[in-house]
Amino acid sequence: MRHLRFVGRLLVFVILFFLLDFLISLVLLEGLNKYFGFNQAPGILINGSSMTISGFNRKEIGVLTKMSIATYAYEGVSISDRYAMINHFYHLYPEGVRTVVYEINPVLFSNLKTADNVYTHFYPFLDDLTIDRYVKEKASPKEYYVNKIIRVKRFDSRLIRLIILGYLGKYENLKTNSLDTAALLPMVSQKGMTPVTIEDSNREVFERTMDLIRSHDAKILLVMMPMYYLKLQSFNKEEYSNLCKYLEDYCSSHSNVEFLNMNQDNLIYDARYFSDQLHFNVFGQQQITKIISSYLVDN
Amino acid sequence: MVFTSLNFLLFFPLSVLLFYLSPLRFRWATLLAASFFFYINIKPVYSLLLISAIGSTYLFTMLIAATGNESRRKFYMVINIILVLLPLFFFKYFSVINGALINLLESWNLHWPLPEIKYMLPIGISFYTFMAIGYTIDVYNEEIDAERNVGLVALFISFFPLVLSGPIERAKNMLPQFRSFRSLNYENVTAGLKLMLWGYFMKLVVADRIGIYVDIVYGNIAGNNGSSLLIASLLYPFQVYSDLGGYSLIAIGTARVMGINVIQNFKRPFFATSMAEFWRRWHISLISWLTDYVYTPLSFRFRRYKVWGIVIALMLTFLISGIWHGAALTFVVWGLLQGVFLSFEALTSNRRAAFEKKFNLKNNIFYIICAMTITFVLFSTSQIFGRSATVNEALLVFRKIFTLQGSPYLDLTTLAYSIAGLSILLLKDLKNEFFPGSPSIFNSKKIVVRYATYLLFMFIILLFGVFQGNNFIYFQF
Repeated sequence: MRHLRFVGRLLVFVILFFLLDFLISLVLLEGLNKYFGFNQAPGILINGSSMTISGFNRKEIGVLTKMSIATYAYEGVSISDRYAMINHFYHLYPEGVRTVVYEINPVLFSNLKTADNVYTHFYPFLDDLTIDRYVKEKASPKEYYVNKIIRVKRFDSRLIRLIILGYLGKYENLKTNSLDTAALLPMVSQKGMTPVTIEDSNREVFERTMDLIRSHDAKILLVMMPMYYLKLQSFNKEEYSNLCKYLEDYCSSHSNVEFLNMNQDNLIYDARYFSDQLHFNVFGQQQITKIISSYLVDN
Repeated sequence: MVFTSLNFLLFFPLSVLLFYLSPLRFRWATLLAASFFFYINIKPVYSLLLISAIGSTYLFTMLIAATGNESRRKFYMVINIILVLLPLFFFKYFSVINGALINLLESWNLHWPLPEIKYMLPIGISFYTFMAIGYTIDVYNEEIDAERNVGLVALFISFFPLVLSGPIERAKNMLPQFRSFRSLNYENVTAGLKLMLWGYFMKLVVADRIGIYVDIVYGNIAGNNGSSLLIASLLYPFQVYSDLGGYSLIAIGTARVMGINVIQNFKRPFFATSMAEFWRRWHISLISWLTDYVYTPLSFRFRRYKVWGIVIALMLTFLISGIWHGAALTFVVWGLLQGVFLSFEALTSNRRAAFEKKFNLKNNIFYIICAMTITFVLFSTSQIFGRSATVNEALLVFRKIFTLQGSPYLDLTTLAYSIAGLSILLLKDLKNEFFPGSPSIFNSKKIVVRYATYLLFMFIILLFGVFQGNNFIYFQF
């Protein structure tokens, strides 16, 4: 009798656990959807990495363009991760968007190693078939099945921060510090030393991504994200030009694709707008947001 | 297999199930098989060392028990202590002694081709070595009878909840429990699971979160300013407490689920009002082991020097403790500092007692808080040596803390989560320290409150726990 009572209580506890797990994960997912702008049908999708996160204020762009914006961006994502993100987005919104703003940076086409665990960012969307397939490829079976069974485990401290920001409706850059230019002086000697390669496999993924967006009748805006001029100068000038030329050629040979190189703007010389060499602070974000919004309105 | 791995979460319920399904008289065998499976899972070859420690301890304790001749008994005890200590010395100190010897010879222009051997320290070797030595000495001192069943000796030394990082148990507590296991008792099962839950909270939510900040700052001492180093140095004692304290609770809870009681390892150390009291609350199993097998014989030997004999015994005991923590000068300094603090307290204890009595300070809350703060600061100061890689690095930390200030490195997410977790932990400790009789939500009579608390902590662990790359600090010792 005591055994049965214990087993009964254990069973109730397990059922309660999974029920709560389901409910909590729903609340968390809702917050994440709010953060990315997936809670309403967007007119514009902005896709990118940490440079996008630091540079674009989704709320402000929405006000200036009078459209709802989704910003699907994570730190450290590779070009393949970006394909999975776009694919996931079209699974969520098969009707698509009017414009996709696609972040470009000089190392996007190279095989530069990004963080090993980027795929863990996508755990919350594990119920989506495209993300499920993508994560299954990257994660260990043990990790995959734990996240499949225990839904709350899909959210970690980084994502919880985004969820809180999503619920609070805060999309502005929280960094106020400016770049310490004196500390960057040694970079002068590294001028032109960082390669800008276009790997065939990455070019293929990029073109596949573009085809996917174009198949949904969306206009594409490729944006070369600005970086502090010393950082920009550290890239091989000729190879960087080749990358820009490749993107310009791609745009001229495909309809509805445009290329906006924001590294030509004067703001890249102003350290007040950067929190580090690659990322903007809140003041830089205000500038970039204005530039991209007026471009989107004008075009 | 470590407690925070998924493998353990599968292994543990299966072991418990097999344990309770086994007939009472064979439960030790089930537990022994589980313990070896657990240990072999880490690195099979290291289980040979464990087996040799068991074999040697069993053989020599039987010989001690069979001999009436005192000098022979002593000889067998010493031989076994040397035999079980040899692997520990080899893995812990060989490369350091070897390196020092090569350097010394080089300085005399002598090139001796000593092979440089560096092995990873077999996990848990310190802990099972201490348990084997304690058992041998206890048999020699006739505090317990030598166990005839080699299986039980093997189980005592390799018992899976304790083998990796303690608590360092005594044979007189464990062997009687292994001889007659209790039948399934739900109070034990639930009490054990609650301890495990709290242990996982301490380890995954508090220790490993604090560890992120401490590792970043101490990973680049030269590049971080005094403020960051001060924050990291104040957080580090809490990290160690939550790490080893959490581990110990998981171990104690695991054993309790199977009806086995294991010694408490931490007793709210940060509420201690003196270093002597602190060491009665911190890593209790190690300190009581050192007290019984190192400090007491030493203080007996130096008894003719009266209070200075105690000072010598304290200094030597903590020097040994420091050297046990690692073959580095930092740990020697760490141990000596503990010895100095405790010796100072021993030398001034009468005067302090008179002073406290005169001004009735024992119950003065401000005095108690001041004493707790001073104790914490002293321990944190010594821990700077425990955390730094070299003495020079530790001195640089002190120099920066006292001279170079500046705005600290603020990883707000990590610090916010760390402080939130730490606050929960310290509040629970505060409640247990000052209001031990007041009701606890973990043990509420209302089942709804109890279940809600368990679920709350489970989800806190799942959401705010750090699940990547977290090993226990004491695995390196």
